[in-house]
Amino acid sequence: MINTKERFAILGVSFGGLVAVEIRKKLKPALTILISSAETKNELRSIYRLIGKSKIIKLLPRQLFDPPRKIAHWLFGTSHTKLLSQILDDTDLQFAKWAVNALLNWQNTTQLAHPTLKISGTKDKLIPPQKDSKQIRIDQGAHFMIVDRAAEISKIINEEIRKIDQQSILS
Amino acid sequence: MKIYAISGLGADKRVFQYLTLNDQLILSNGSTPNLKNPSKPTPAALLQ
Repeated sequence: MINTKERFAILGVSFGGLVAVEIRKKLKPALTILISSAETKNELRSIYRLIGKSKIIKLLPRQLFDPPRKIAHWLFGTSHTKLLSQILDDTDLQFAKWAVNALLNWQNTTQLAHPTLKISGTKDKLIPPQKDSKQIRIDQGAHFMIVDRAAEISKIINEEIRKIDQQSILS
Repeated sequence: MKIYAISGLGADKRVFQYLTLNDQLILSNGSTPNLKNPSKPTPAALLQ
């Protein structure tokens, strides 16, 4: 439960970023942070939208949403392979199927008002960075960079919140 | 300020432990829809 009576930020990672965007449309956070994610459906790969339109996902057995670990490690581009494997092992496949379908059929075209902080990795194979002035790019960052590049990402977030806090004090 | 964190696919709440933020991070399992009781809203339901 988000306490909207005090200033707050929302931070969404990957698919969680899509959820954060939808929450942002209903609530007024002081800051919305999207990491390895997208703000609108147009920032997702076109192939995703094509697959989504085909409705094929609903026909696939949920077991197919448990990728071979070596492929997953490559797609996520991480050196923390053990952690990623553990997370995938613990992922409910019914949820995975639902989430993939929701991502492929996401309809949002509304750009968020500022303040929004978007952090993308230049080597993200799943949600590649877009030409976007709001976006901060992590050089060589991949989809799992929230773990692999946590120190840099933490610094960016801390600095952005510091600026917002300063603006809040001045206004 | 409080930062409400929403995880994703292949990125559950364990990924947030690597961040070192100056503000309080509140972890959510909110990306997971309530599959047993779909009538109970979750943040993920916003995508439907």
